[in-house]
Parts: sequence; C-alpha cells; structure tokens
Amino acid sequence: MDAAVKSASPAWQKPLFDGLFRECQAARFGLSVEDFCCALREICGKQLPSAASREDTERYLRGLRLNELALARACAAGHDAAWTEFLTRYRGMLYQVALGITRDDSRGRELADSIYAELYGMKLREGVDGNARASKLLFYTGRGSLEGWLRTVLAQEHINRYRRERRLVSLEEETEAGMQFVAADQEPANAGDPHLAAATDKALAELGSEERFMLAAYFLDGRTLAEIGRMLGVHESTISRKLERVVHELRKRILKSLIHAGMSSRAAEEALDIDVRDLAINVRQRLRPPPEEERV
Amino acid sequence: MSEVPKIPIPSIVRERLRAVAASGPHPDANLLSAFAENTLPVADRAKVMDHLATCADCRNIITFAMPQIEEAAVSARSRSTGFRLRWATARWSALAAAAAVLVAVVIIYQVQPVPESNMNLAAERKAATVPQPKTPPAENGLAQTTTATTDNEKQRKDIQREKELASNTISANTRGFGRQAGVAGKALDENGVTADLEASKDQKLGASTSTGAKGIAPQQSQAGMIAGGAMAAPVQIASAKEAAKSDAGTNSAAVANAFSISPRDSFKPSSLTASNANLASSNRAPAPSVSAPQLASKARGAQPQPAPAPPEAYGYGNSFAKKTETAPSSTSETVEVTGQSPQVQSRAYVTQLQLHESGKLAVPTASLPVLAKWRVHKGRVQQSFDNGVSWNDVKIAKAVAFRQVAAAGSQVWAGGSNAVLYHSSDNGQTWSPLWSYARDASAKAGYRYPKAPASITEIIFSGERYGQMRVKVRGKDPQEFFFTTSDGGQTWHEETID
Repeated sequence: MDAAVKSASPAWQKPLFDGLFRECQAARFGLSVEDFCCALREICGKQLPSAASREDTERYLRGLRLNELALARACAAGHDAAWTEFLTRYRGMLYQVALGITRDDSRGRELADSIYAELYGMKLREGVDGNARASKLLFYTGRGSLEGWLRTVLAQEHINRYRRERRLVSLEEETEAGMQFVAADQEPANAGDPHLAAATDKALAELGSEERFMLAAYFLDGRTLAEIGRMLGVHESTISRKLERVVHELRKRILKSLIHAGMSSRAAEEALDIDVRDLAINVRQRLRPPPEEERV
Repeated sequence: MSEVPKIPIPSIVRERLRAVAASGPHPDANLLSAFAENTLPVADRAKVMDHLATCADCRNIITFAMPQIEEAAVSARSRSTGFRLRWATARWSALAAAAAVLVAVVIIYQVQPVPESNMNLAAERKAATVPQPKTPPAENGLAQTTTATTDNEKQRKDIQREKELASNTISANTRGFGRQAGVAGKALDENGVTADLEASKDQKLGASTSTGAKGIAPQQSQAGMIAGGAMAAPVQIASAKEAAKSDAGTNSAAVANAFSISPRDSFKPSSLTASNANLASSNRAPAPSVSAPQLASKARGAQPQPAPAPPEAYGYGNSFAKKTETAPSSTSETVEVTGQSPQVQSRAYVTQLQLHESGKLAVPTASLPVLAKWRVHKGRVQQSFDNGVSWNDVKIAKAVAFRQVAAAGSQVWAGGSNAVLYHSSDNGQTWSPLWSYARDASAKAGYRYPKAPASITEIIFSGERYGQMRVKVRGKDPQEFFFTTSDGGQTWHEETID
C-alpha cells in the first residue's frame, strides 16, 4: 500500500485493524499484521465510502469472514502454514465440488487441479516490486465463506472451459456424432401481435427481480423447484406456489394492458393463449389431395 | 425440468424473458458466493438478484456453486438437532407418541408386588408428610420408603420448601423439547435465566407441548417420553458424594440404585454396581428436590398440586436426564431440577432414606441461585429475579405491544405488534432489532409477503440457534407465515405447512 495512502488513514484505523488481527488469529497462518491491515484497507477502499465512520467500518469488517480472509491472504503470500491449513480444510471439498459439477471423475480432477494452480499463483505478474505471485486468492474479500467462494470459482472455470471446448469442436466430429446442421432460424412470417409483446414487456418489468429470477430459472434454464428453492432459501413448495401466483398475476396484467390498448377481453385472451408459433399445422398433409375413395 | 407448472406460461412470456438483456456488470465470485449463502445485505442482494434475473450465465454459476443436495442434506442433518418441523410428520408422530404414552401408563399403573425388603421402607415413606402422588406405588417404583419418625418432620419441610422453590424455575421452553429443556437447564446453569412463556394453553400432551406447537410435540420429546417409561438414565445427584462419605456402603447403594432402577424394579440397597458407585461418588453440587407432581403440573401451566404424579412425569424427566449429565458442575443445580421428575422424586426418596439411615439431612438447604424469568404482560416484556414474585418492565421499543418472548441462556427474543423481532444477547440489558417483516420479507418479495400490518404471534427457541416464529398479516388478505431459523434469528426461512 502506498505510503501516501497509509498516511491518509484515520487514526482509529490502525488500532481497529490490529484488534481484528488478534481476534481472527491471523498470525497462526504466518500472516503479518501489516499484510493483514493492507488487505483490510484495500477492501474498505473498494467497498466503503472514503469518509466512512469508525462504526460503519467496524460493522462492515466484522461482517466479513476475517479468519478465512487471513487464510486466503496468507496462502496468496505463499506461507506454508497457511497452505497446510488450506489443504486440510479444502482439498477434499474442492475435488468433491469439481466432481459434482462435471459429473466425471477425470474431468473433475482436471478442473480441481487447474484451480489449484491458479490459487497457488503459478503465474507471475509484473508488479511494483518486480514479478509477484498472481494468486487468485487475492480476490477473495471475505463477504461469503471461502468454501462458497471456491465453489463459485470452480463453477466459473467450468463454464469457461465448456465454452472454450464448444468453440473448438470440429465440424467433422459433429457430423460423425450425427448432428444435423440446420439453417439459421428465419424471421417468422407472423411475429405476433406487437401489442402483445409490448404488454408482456411491461408486465415483466413490473415484476420484482426475485419473481423474474424464478421465472427465468424455471422456464428458461429448466431448474427444478428444489434447486430454485435452495437458491432462494425457501422450500420448493413455496417456490411452486410463488410461481403459480406470479404466472397468474402476469397473465392478468398482460390481459389488462391489452384491453387498455383497445382489445376486447376475448380477443386479448385469444392473443395471449394462441400464439401462431405454437400452432402445429402440418401444411404438407393439408395440401395433399384426398384419397380416391373420398373423391366424388 | 421434472415439475410441470399447473399454469403453463404463454410462449410470448418465455420469449420476452429470453430477450431481456443482462443488466449491469457480472457480479464477481465474492458477491455470487455471498448471494448463494444468503449473507448479502438486502440492498446488495436485490442488485445481484436483478442481474441474475437477466443473466443465464450467472444463474448457471449460482446453480453450480450451491452445495449439492446430498451435501446439503448431510450438513443439515449434522447441524440439525431434529428441530425442523414437518407438520404432517409431527402430527402423526404426536398421535403415535400419545398412544405409546397411554400404553406406557397402563403398564406403569399395573400393581407390582413389593418384595419384603421394601415393605418397611414403603411404610416409612408413606408416613412422611412430603406430598405423595395419588398413584399406584409401581408408577414411580420408589414410593415405598419414608421416614416414620417425628425427627423427619423438619427435614420434610425443608425438602418441601426446596421443591416449591425449584418447581417454579421450570421454563416453558422446556415443555415439549427434550433438547430445549436440556439447553434451558444449561442456560439456568450458566446464567440463571429461564423463559416462562405465559399461558401455554394447549397442553394436550401434558408436559410435552409448547406454546408454538399446538398439540404437536417434537419427536425428540416424544421419544423422551416413551423412553421415560423405562427410566434408565442415571443422574448426578447433589449429595452423592456426602452419601458416599457418610455411609459408603448403604447410602451409596441407596443413592445409586435410586436412579438406576426402573419403576417396576424393586429397591435393592445391596445391589451396588461399579458404575453406580462412580455415580454415587460424583462431586456434583446438590440439587434441590422437586417433586414430580409439582414439576409436571407446572409444566402444564396449572397451579402446583401436591397430590398427583402424572404419568407424563416419567418420560418428561428422562429426556432431559441425559442432557444434564454433561452439564458442568456448578453452583446452579436448577439444571438437574428442570424436568427431572422421576430422578427428583428419587431424590426425595433417597433423602428420606438417608435420613432414615443417618438421622440427618444430607441434602444441603443452601439457597437456590437467583433465576430470571420472562413473561409478556399486557403488551410489555417483563423480567423477574425473584421467581415471579415481582416483575419489572423491560424497555425494548416504544409503541410496541409485545406478544411473545423467548429465552435461551443469555439470548432473549421478543416480538409483537410491529412484526419486528428484537434480540438481546446480554439477558435483556440491551436490545436491537434483529428481523423485520416489512424490511426482510415484504420488501424482498412483496407478492408473497404483502405489505400490510403484521405482528409476531409466536416465538420459540430450543436453544441459542434454532427457533421458529409465526407472523400474522392483517388487512384485506390476512395470512399467516411460519419461519424457522438456525442461526439465532439472523436469517429466517419460511416453512410451508403442507
């Protein structure tokens, strides 16, 4: 941390940080009090306003996982004691999570090993003091648990890998796998009533973010009610009731907008319920001439 | 997806949902993990939720980052003390437990032949002025001894006084939760605070119902009640050490055996086992004697009655006995008193026996530690340090009519007409709002939790972490929500009653 920044720190900050250092027992990971205070200043600088009071700062910092933050920073600095503790706590968990994400033992181990390299800081980056360790653990700020953060990092890495692999799959392999290459979707002849789209957009915008999240997770991502319930911290039956209520409410609002736009209620219901793109009309069959016995 | 919604979504809605562009930058791993763990402040959570509603990639990350169902189930099982209520299961469990209790009562009430060696002791006990339950002797298996001499009058009065004092310390929270009683007992041990919820009107299961579970008792206490029929849990007793010192052979045997026999077994002073000897030589401080009748009747919210020993008393006590085994040795012996009806009755019996043997009272008559009791009276939270003789108003918040208070150790929770849950971690000296219906429920999901006047109608905590709360919403569309917590009330999750 720059000397200028250090000198601008309030007087109460150092004793507060020192106290937090002792409380979270950061010293047993080999982390120095200066490194710990530097980490806290960095986090406070990003998350809190510059004129934050002592009480606000202390309240915010006490809401963080300081012990795990200290462990992460000590690992990022390369302290052996910290890495021993980290491996004891999280090695098994990392492999389990990677296995759960990839559903494949070898891919899971590969994913977990790649994360280890990033956490350890195999890459070097140029810094003020020369080449420094570029450990991913430096990005952990303690807002959530370190375990949760590691899960998220694993998930991000998995998604990134998946995207990279998708781009690199050859056309020949896809053809051998039986994939048929279809033409790009054409613009539908009837794109639907513009009033309907506008009414739907308006109704969706009036929903809360949690409601839209549930709709997207369930109807777009295909998540189960139990998964959505775990994400939101409620029982799956609660999610089911909420979804029904939201869809019902959405429908009411769309109909109301359509009626307000000049449609009759019947027309509005038909417009909402009958989408030409949903119609499954076999045109070929309808154009085929009838059998001879039916001809007059 | 495996579940099909009952109301299908129109295709146009699905299409417009997909068309909405992701709002704002992607949250970093810290925010996403904190969101998944539900530890973000309300404002930050709303922002992340707003982004997640429009960004499929971040939703996928959240899904992958959630603990797997198997892991969550394992961790929930390892954390849970069995407190999560499944109402349907709890109802059936309650019915099954009630039936088992009835069967146990029938068995216990069967008249058992009393061996000759017990005849004198039984006669002596009957002659004592200590209130005896109007039940067959076999119910407790110990109503066979008493002192017949006039020298015992004074000791009996002392014991009676101790029982009356100790019986008033029963926490309402212990009514129905074996663990809760154990924790409450521990709380008594540590801080001398009990929570005495007023008017547990529904006592269908006797000592095992709580103000929250109307006629539904957690399985744990029911199991304890069922196990109570056998009464096998040993108890550290106060005067065991003295008993061992004074007359090691007979008294130790008496002490030990009093707690190791079943109600149906005969008393055999000579049958001293090694384990019982260890039990007898325990250094635990003395616990005052409390009669089972008074304990059980107090648990039922009734006035203490001298006469009956309700059948529930057995089971009621044993579920806590094992918990108190691990309670630290301290000057507060209310840990052992709370809910230990059969052991306590054994204590009374043992006391009489020791009196008979040594001619002096072995149970010390030291004054009981001061215990704090809590109640809500006319919308005000009140605290009493003199066992309910006088009550002091506790200032928490203005213009709030409180309806419920719960305590576990030094942790106290109170709520009422404004649907704000207040919490104190220092026995009620300072309070802070912990959870608010308007801020933490209605503001986050207004379609689910309507913005209407609400009040907290029920608060129950089985310990410092696990609790439940009921919120009633008034207005045009009155509703009721049931929440549970596993972190002392910091976060609450709605439980559905299906």
